[in-house]
Amino acid sequence: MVQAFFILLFFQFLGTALQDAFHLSVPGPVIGMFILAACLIVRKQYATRRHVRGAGSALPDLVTEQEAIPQDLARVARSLIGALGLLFVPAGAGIAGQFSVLRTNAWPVCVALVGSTLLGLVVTALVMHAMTQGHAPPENLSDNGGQVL
Amino acid sequence: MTTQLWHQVQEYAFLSPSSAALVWLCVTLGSYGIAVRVQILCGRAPWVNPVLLSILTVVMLMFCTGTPYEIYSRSTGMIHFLLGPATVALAVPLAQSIGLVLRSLPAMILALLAGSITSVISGVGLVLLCGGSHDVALSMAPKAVTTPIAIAITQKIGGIASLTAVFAIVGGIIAAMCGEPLLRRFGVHDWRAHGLAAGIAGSGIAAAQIAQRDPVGAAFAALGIGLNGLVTALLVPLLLHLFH
Repeated sequence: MVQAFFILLFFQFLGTALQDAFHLSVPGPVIGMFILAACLIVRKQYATRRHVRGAGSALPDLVTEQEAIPQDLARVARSLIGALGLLFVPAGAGIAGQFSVLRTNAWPVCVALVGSTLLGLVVTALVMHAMTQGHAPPENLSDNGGQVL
Repeated sequence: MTTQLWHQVQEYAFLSPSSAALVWLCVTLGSYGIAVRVQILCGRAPWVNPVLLSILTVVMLMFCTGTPYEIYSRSTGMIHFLLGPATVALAVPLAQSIGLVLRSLPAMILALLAGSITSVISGVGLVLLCGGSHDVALSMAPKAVTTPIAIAITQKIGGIASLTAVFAIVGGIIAAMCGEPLLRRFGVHDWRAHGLAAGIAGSGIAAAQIAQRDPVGAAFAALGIGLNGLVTALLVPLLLHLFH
């Protein structure tokens, strides 16, 4: 857990520092996410290449995956993402201070929020769906009913 | 006598600096935990959204005890802080399914552009059509993006920051509640499309709902959040410039 939090906070700091240095409008944690993902992908590629040269393992995919992403980090990431919803509650409770503005604009705000969000969802998913059909085997929506991540 | 005692207890628990942080942290964690249980009891129905239930509980308790939002927000700063590391942690599912992501890259870029433009234009357009004020319309423009990026954009174009934060969160809750059933009705049975749409239209909250369901969906949602932030940050000032 110590190692994992060190990695996460270090990359968040890296992203925030880059944001401040170059005055970017993308927030630091998101930049940190992209840098960490790039590092993990490079590590994975490196491990795959070494395994191909060695050609000894029966399950190369699984072995390289475990080697590339530290187990500790994977575990902490899984629990943080599993509780992602909780982390939005403090910011969301800020709605308590906005009641007066919301009341005067209630109708346009409701229509725009519901309409625009659903339109965005449907357009994105339908374009993605139309473009990926026939290209790769679709990951069928298996209703596992349990938490995977 | 008893009411006076009750008032003292209430004041000590919810407002005094020594205990407010602990009490509000317990309230937040407890209400979220119960809300998750309720969702599981309802067969993991997406419309029983634990974020919404938990926010409602907290707001109601704040109202009943007369706690100002500043005290609550200071007390739960620890939870809010974890949002940063949790965003960075989305790199793990992204790295795990990078092969799948790269294979559908062209489709993803097209879907991203279509979704971003639709969200911004329909958001601003619907507010103005229904007679909303100009600054509310501006605050609506970046609402599909993850909250911190949305606030940065809205400050740049002259919207109201706290209003945008509320819109981003409520929009995320709407996407989390309606996304999966709605897309299934449209015949979309692919976790890649579900994840990307959740990340683009509903940012973190909808992504959290998808992340509970499937790791591939989580990876595409993570990518959707990041890329939509980039695209909208460039797109919103450009579109406003065109319309003026």
